[in-house]
Amino acid sequence: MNRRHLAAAVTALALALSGCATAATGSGAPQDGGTLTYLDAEIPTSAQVQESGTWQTRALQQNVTDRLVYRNAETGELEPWVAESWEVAPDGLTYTFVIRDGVTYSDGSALDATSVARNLEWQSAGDAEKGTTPNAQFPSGLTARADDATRTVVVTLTSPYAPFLNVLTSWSAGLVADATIDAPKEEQQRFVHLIGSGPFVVESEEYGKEIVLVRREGYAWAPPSSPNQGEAHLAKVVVIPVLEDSVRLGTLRAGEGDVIRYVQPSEEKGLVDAGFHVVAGTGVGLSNQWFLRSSAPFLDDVRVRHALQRLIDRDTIVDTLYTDSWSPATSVLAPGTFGYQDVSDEFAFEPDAAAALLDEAGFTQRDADGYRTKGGQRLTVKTYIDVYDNTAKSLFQAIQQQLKEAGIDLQLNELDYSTYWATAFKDPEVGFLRVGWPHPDPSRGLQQYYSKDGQDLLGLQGSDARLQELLDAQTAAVDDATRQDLLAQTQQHLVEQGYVVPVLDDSQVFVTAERVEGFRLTDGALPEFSTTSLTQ
Amino acid sequence: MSTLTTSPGPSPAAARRPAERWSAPPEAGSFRALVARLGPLDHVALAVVAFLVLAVVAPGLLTSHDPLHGDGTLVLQAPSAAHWFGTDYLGRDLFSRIVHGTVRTLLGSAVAVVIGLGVGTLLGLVAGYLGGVVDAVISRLVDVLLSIPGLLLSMVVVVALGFGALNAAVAVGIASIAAFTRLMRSEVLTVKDLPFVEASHHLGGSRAHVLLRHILPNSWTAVLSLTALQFGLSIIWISSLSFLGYGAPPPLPEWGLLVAEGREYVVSSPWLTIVPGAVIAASVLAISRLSRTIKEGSAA
Amino acid sequence: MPERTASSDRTASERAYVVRRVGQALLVIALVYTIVFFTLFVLPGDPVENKLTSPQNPLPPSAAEALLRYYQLDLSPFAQFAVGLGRLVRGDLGFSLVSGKPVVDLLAQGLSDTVVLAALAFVLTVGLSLAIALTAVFAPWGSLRSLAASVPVLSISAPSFLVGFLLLTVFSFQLGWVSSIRDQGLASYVLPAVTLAIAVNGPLSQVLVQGLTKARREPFVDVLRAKGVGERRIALGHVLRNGAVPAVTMLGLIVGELFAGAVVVETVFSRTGLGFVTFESVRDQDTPVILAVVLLVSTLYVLVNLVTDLLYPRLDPRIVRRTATGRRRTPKAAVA
Repeated sequence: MNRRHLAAAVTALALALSGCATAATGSGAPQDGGTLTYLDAEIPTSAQVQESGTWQTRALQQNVTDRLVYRNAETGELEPWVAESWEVAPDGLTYTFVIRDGVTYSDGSALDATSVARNLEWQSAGDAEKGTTPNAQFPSGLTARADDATRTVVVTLTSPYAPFLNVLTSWSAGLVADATIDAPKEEQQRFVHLIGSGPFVVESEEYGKEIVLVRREGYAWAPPSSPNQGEAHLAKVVVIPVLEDSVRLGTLRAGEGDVIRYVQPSEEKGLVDAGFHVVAGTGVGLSNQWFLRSSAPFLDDVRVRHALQRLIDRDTIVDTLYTDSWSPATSVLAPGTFGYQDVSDEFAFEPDAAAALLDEAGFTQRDADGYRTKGGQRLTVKTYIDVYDNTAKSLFQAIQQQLKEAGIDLQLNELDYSTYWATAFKDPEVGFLRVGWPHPDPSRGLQQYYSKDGQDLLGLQGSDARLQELLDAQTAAVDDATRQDLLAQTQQHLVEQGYVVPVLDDSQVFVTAERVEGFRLTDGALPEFSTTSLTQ
Repeated sequence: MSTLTTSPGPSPAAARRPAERWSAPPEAGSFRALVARLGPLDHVALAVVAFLVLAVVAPGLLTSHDPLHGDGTLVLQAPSAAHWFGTDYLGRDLFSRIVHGTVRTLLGSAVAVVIGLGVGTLLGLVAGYLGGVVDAVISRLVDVLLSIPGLLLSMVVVVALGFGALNAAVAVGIASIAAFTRLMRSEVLTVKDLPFVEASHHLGGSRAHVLLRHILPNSWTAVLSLTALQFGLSIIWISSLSFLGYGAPPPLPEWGLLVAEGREYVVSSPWLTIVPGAVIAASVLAISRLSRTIKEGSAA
Repeated sequence: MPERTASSDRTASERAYVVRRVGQALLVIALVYTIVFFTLFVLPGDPVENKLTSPQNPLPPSAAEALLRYYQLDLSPFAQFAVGLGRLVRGDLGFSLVSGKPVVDLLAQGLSDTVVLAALAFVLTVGLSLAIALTAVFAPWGSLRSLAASVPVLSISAPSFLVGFLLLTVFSFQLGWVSSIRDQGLASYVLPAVTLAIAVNGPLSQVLVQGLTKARREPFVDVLRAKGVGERRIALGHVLRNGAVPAVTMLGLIVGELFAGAVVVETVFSRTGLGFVTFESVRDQDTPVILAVVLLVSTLYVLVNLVTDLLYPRLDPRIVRRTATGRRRTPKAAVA
């Protein structure tokens, strides 16, 4: 028998969005019209659906396209969107979606069952002719059969794929018109050719300068829980990348910008005092964490890894360097994520216990600079400062200070944005690097980082059979309870073995001007412009 | 006329000076004469340079704060009696970071100048003295280096070598080779034809001997002046590279890095950017001032 | 008849000179390309291949493969160089390793913006330098003169990112005269152009100060004064005309510095011209773009220098005499 699978797919745990999730909403009906100037910290790159991934790109895809399934950012529940309802066969091999009636793309073509089926197969298979790789989140070998008369799409998988529904909520699962799928790859990369059914349409695009979104006339298919069921309030959104933090902030303060992304935590207070609103959100997915590589010098000893976990005073860091928008990590997953379990007891700040562990591991001597040594070798751990997080510089230096007090020499290195990935992750000397960002599905996220079939960041190559088994089993665990249990065990295992040091629950921080109302974030901490309005 | 002799270089000091000044006795540029000519502005400049030297040699004398270890409770404090230049985002004393950062900053500039001076002067000597094909080859090479603006050339070298403090310094050094080569070459050419050098040739002095005995002592003020100027320019260039993110990694307090870091806090804590920026400007100004005094003195 | 022979001799030697100068200019451009190519492309670790095959490269794998084929990295460095040179001659500068776009398009797009910025900054630079030099040489008060004389050094010493930010703070954030982010036509170019002019004017100002100071001491000034010509006319009409000529040789340098300075200035002012293209390409180690930018800027420099060198004798008749007699002074240059 088929089982009704609506909304039950996600944990009942409330999504603990840190800080306020929406800017203060004024009284009365939101004002109609106006242009919102949104200043991003980076330049949106490629709009190509399967191969895009930068944060600034997601923000645009989120607002220009719609998805089959919606995840409510406040409750964490899955809700219908373009799919009115869905059913999952108990074997996890067949999904039946009923497509909402009357949805159209911005070029006028229908978003019907046929279009959905084409999108899903396109995502799963990529496009060999154009050299487009499949969307890494999607199950491979997916076939979809459409019946426009009954508005149903029947998806058949070759093997069970438990993350599927979560993946369908992802920014990268946005549905696009045939015109986009058929376009040459070069055109697919341009945002003006991203034809979706979303509340906004890309009107113009000038690389590096601005992207102009205008509201979609006649939009009437928002997720049922959205406070705005009709057209967007804003007539226009102008997205301007301003790479200089100081200029972005100055422009907002001067009243020329309405919303900015990324601000140093230290600036938040002054902005709030000046009447601005800080809107911050932790997306569902993985917490900001370090993976400890056992192959790196000294980290083969589990006692050293355990000591590292216990030497970070997260509370002090959050107190001194951050604001209420941020919180110490409590697990490998972020709170509110499906299967999240608080395992913070395993890595609480315990300097004495850590010191004992280091003594036990043989690092009993101290050198002239106060660092621990063993056999004349200084206890040194090498890392590179994360380039994706604008607070990483201060965070890494603060941790460096804390580790120094315990006699561990943390060597910080810096790379530029583009060489970081290739260089830092290949460096065999590296003890740890920061990973962990919002992800539509925790199992997929963990597999991509820690499975031998993924990036194998821990460098275990499957030698930890238990970890590999836990990760592998999640794909087939279509039953939510089973998968939650597996996820809980995985989190426990990763922390217990000293593989991962959770650091913070990351936040995307936005600042909005006083006249901006209803600006809120999605489950992935992306801005949602359809509910936003301007007062004046 | 080639580009080499007509167009003044990136620095005014490299601009061609009239040959007539060589009719003055070489002693005019001596150290004692130099000291005698110092004006009040030069004394200020000297004081700044003395401060820099002290910061390099004994930073501990100037400040007792730890440049790397901050007080977490004193984050982003405005300048005060306890913290003259305020504190940064980790509560570290900015004055201390600037003082302790002097070594690294000046070391970077020194590396750059040593490369520029060493390679550039050697090439200039060889080109000017040997002439012919060697000169033609070196002159074209210098044309190439001159045709790429210094900052752009440094960026090319940094891309080739990778990012980092030392690489940025080497890059700036390579970018300043041309100025030294051109200066040295024209010095050699002017001095070579002077009667006393020719005379010493006729008296049977070996090439190397003539070179060392006459050309080098005659050129030292000009080279010293350019060295000082390039030293100042190197500080600016390296800090520009740091600003663009191609320089030293934190937490080491390099001046350009301090300015670059401070930018993110500029609205709430402008001193983090403005103070190191002003220190850079003051240092370069002082060094340039001295460089000019040296040059003017020798030209007088 | 004999006169004719003499003048045709002269034109022949002039023509030879022009030909030699043009040849030199072309040689320098070719050398720039060669040296930068080998610096950027033939480093250990195959920078281009690394870049293209990196999982973080935003370029889709299909496009990356196409580019790998295009750049023929399996060839020897010299063969790669030959291929690249052949394409360069046909006006093909290759493709960006990050966006996959043709480099020519990127440059054209960046240039269209930066040319306006550089032109405005150029005018400002010349105006600023003249003002500084005239003040430094002719101002009636000694303190003002020495103050003006120290401005060139001061402007060299001021990091342009700081100058740019201060200008933005005052004129955009505080006074609100011009937008910090929106394109308002020519008005948007003013602040960045002022920043550039402040960064670049130092050397020109200094040469002008030297030139004017020297021209002022020339005997003809005394003659004019004896004739009863007013000081103002002497200063602006005669001294300036004579003293400013040497500064013409700085044009190439200034143009080059303006384009290089645009890297920092465009970053501060969120502009997307050639400086931004350069900044991005260095950040992303997008070697074909860097190579093209360097080639473009150095070509500009060489061209401007070539033109000023060829025109210089016409501007300053003394130069002709000097070249005639001056061969002795700079014999090696003549050989070169």
